Amino acid sequence: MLVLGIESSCDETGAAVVRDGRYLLSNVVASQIEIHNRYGGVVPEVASRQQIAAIIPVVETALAQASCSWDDLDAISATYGPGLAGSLLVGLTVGKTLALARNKPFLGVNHLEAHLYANWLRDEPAPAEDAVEAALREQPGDPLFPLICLVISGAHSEIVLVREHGDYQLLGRTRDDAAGEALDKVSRVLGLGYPGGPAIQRMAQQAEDAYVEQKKSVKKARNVYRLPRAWLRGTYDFSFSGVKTAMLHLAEGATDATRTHEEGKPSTQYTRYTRMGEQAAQAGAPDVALLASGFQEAIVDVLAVKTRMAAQEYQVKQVILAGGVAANLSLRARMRQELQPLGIRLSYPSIDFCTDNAAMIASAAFFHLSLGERHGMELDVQPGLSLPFRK
Amino acid sequence: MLLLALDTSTRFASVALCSENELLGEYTWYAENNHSVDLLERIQAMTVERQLSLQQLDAVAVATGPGSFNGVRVALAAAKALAFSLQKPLVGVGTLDVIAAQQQQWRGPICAVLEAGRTELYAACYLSREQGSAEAEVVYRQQRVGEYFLGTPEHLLEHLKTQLADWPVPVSEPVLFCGEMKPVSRQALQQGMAGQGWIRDGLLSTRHASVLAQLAMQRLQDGHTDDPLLLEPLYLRRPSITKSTRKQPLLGAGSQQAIDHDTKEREQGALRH
Repeated sequence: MLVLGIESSCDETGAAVVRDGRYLLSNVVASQIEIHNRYGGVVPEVASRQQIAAIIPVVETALAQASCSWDDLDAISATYGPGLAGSLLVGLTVGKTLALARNKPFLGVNHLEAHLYANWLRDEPAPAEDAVEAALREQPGDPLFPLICLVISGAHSEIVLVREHGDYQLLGRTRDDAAGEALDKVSRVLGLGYPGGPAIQRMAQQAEDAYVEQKKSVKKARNVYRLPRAWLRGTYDFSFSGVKTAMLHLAEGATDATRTHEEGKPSTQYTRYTRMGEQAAQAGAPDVALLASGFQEAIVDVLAVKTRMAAQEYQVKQVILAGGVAANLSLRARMRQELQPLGIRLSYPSIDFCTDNAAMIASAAFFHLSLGERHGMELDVQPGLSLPFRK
Repeated sequence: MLLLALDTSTRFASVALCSENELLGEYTWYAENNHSVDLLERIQAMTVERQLSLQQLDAVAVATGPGSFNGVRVALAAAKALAFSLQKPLVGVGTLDVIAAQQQQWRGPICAVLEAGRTELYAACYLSREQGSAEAEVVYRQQRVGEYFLGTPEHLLEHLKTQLADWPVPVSEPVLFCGEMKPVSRQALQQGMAGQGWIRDGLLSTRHASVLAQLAMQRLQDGHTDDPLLLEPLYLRRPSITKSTRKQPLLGAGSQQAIDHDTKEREQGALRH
């Protein structure tokens, strides 16, 4: 089954042709990172304007790269949420219209669910076409149910138990900032730009490489600035606003070591980080690379340990990572360390499929379409959509 | 020739299916913010009623704005997708052109107006002339005079005075204002014109996609089409971007890039008017 997927939930415009939910025929993404970098984040109206300008050329390129005619396609799918309303509207309207014009089945796709399905995509040539029933069965290389999925992006940090296709149980979620959001904010404070994840990873790597060169351990580099972790024991929930604020105070303290706290006696936490900042400032320019390393470590530590604990409790065979932060190399390495001794499989999408892309939309659509699901022309965008959790 | 015309520029939307001399169907409705939900359902219903397939279309027309940013984009996304997938010609027509064309029998200057938010108006001036066709049919040809305008009703009135001074033909009739206006804007225009302008009532200002279709057919006859890969909305207003002081970096060297964006912004395609 050949599915055209369209993705336009935020600042990337994507189109892809995927066979049987796994094999890529084409995958085209037009990114706007350059533009939004200047504002330190995504400006919704700017994103929508880019979407309407890019969408048709992106679809055309995806079809051409797949050497695919309209007659070859079996269905058309597009993201309908969650995301920015204005951006979603463009892709969903184009998707529905193409289906109506070419008389194809249409399916709206939940963008979050699609991030999970990025784990079904592979860089292999497609085998001879399968019957739909065969394609629906588990194939070598597919993730094994039941599994734990760590969904981590700019808007989400969730641990989800997945027993079967479409069967989602929420185990824990962030109570404040998402991991990616915290990375973006801290990156901005450190002057590293947007998106924050890759920028912080790059700086952290610099600091860690420098330590290794000096025959010091990586661990040492990560603990020069030992930032607090919110463990929220007894739950699988996360909180990243505390570590973010600690980071902010560190940066402030380092920038202005003589700053006095006007509102009475500063909190002990505040004093502590200001003092660390003062020390760093006295020692010379605050080491942005070491700050980045310490911050990344604090985030990765909590994500990896809590996900491993969930995998143990629910005795799953596999853990999968999904979402933009799944591209983080430090997180991937740490997850492997946690899971390998327990014999639990780990998989994550290749870097290109961690960020927003249309291949994952086509993949998720395949599994739903195969079960006979369809959407009509009345489908509307749902900016606040979440995973369809069981009650 | 079978033409489908789409207009979701404001809270009022309209779609029409027509040939050169016959209206096969038209829906004009209050869409509020449900453009994407309603539009495709109505296209579907119209083709089913007339037992036509979209593949039989000969051309697609779309209102390109100004108007609600998201609204304009819905019809444009649909029209581009139709023209691209069916490989049919696409014609984009400005929304103010459509509003003015509905008053094409007016012999004086026509000023088409839409609310732009923040107590401002989008506007443009038009001159309509009648011509006889070979079949002894009366045909109106509309010409926009001057540039598109964005500003307060007071500024519009000043702008109008300069426009009328340079009017291509002697102005013998009063100005006719038409389009969607809030009572405040109507009042401002009414007071400012002091009897030298008329305001078309709201009901007769409602946009009909059959009028859009008529303009599009004229443009097709003139050999004018748009590329579905390139056609973009006519926004007239830049996206509003507020600078947050919280977003300034405390450390590092990236600060220059983040703060000094104004000049680069102007060159940026995403922000074009």
